[in-house]
Amino acid sequence: MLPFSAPAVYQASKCFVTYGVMGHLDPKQPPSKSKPWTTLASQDFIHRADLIIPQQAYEAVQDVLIKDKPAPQFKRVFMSLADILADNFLEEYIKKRNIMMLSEGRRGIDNVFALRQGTLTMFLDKEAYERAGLVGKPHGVKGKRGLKPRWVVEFDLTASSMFPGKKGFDRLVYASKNALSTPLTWLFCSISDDTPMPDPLDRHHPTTLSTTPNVSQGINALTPTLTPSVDSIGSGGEAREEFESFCTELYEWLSLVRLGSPRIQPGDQIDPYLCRYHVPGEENQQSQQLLCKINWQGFLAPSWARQTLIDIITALPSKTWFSFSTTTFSKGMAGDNAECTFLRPQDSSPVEYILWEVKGHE
Amino acid sequence: MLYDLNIAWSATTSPSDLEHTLKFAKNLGYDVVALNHIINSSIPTQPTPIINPIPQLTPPHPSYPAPNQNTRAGTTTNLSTTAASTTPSSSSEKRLPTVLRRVTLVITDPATTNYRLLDFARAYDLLTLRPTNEKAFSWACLSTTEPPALISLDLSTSLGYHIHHRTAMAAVHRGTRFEICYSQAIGSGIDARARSQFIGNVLGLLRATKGRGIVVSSEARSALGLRAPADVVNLMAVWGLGPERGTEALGVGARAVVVNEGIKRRGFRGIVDIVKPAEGGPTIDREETGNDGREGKIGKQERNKQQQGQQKQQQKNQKRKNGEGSTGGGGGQDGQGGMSKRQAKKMKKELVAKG
Repeated sequence: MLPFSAPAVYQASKCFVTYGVMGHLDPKQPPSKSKPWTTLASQDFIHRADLIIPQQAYEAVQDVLIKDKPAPQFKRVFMSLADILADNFLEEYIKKRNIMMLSEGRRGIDNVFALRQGTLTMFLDKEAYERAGLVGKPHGVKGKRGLKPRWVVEFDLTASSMFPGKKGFDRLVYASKNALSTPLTWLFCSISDDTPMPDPLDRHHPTTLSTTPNVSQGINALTPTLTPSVDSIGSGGEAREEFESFCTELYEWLSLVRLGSPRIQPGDQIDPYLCRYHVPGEENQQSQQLLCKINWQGFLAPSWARQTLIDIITALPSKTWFSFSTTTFSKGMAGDNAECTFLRPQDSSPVEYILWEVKGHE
Repeated sequence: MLYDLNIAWSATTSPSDLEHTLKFAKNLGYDVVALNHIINSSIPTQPTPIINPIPQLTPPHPSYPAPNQNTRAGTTTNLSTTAASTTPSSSSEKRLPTVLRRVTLVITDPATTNYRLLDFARAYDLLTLRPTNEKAFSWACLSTTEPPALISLDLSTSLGYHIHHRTAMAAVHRGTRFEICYSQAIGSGIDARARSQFIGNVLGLLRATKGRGIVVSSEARSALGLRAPADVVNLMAVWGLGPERGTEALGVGARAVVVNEGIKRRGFRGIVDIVKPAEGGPTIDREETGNDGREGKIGKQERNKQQQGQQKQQQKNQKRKNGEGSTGGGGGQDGQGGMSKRQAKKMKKELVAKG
């Protein structure tokens, strides 16, 4: 066939792998400055999170993660941007508390609004941008002879200049009433614990949904060695190649477990015309284990993910391996999303970890 | 907004099949879709009025004038041309995409059809030409009276001629876009020879236009011929149209075609359009003058004054709205001079470049 053209700048996703050592974990003072934690915090809106553990470890984790932990709640509400900028909503939720909201739509195709850490980001197409009359930056591929089809506009709503009556804010309100006035479906999640009384959100009749974890136990899987071999640690070129192939295969296997694929089951006979996947490693390096997968799906905050990872690490016995992955909402037409997978390898020090971070092109 | 400007329709399509196809298109993510009536047979040369046989399944696209439009100023409204719905829906999803009605004329002999093009253009939302030989192709690109919205070739057969860069770019500069219909190459009944012919022709077309001025659509006869937009972009990337151009072909480029065609049909010669009439003061009912007597007379005077004020305001508003693209008319519409021909030409050029 024809040679594939090189992926354009705005299409390729990249995966960054880190093999490192965590600092000591103090549950009273959750860490936030070092590597696995900053990666978790850098994701914007988490759509699903998966935990894969060996079946024996399930009892240890069951209480902490499922019974005692309150299920994170989020709301789905149908409102317009003007409602968000209305006095009481702005005052109660945005200025005083920490919330996150995401509107419906595909970035790069429709007009999408996201509110996170007090910053309102609007991804607009050219017409909406010109009608709104706000200042923004071009979004997407650079160039194209001056035609800029998409724009991003950002506003920091927690700033002291964002009050009704001030010019910048009034411009935003005008735009929300005239150009961006169609009501959309939003997902709303409150990160701070208290809710204001009376709730300004009640006027829009939100539906509250809660994310209960989904447990699938007793997955019979052919497990490869979950520890990087001695050959792959080191700074030589060969060591790097070895490590790269190990990590890629292991990531593929973890993804198949997350998807619930039957290809990892022992004794799987699939016609090689349809699938040529083999569990990585030699026959003697693979072991047959029972795995358990816990899955959360909803509109989750990165702070929740961080807390969950801390809970997992403190709850599990220190020799057990586990894998925790978070996936964000998809962006753009191809539906690719950012993902972060954390693995504590087997048979190694309890503070070692391998972290895969898949970054989308935006 | 993603556009699929070619879903094949014929008089024999059953409404349930059609609805099935449209729902599937909406599901895949296409917001605006055009039903294509392909006219293969000879076009009557007598000036019989042309009726659009395609049913109007959804409210018309906001760029296009509504079917029963009076020419009064107050009925055109400032609707966004990319609004997914013009009326608020109860939930924000709609079952069917906005449907446009389009015609494709298969041209073999350009001499007989040239003067019928305008009638077709008036009856349908989009006019496409499908030339079958080289003479018709160069005529379609260069010398139609009004450039067609799209030139769509049947790429699964051997063209017989080479597409020249100069001809193709001349057509693109006139405002015509070339259309690639991907279901001519994929699907169940396509043999390998047709597919290889298609790929060769696509390569030739992309070489001639260098990827500019291309719109991609399916020519789906049923829901099975439709593919998701990301898959279409990938498919076109394999065949040589870079992914950004591919996304543009489905989104921005197709939107440009639709909006430009709408503008041509709306307003005065596609140049001047009234966006929003000036707001007047409260009007007073004539029926009440019987009771109110004197007050009624004053009311009438007031009303006259208000009307004059409105007209003046309208003129003022229109005079001030100078550089606003197609809308806002410029000082054009007061009864006396109108704008100069040069200004009108300039605005039209701006339109085509912007849209």
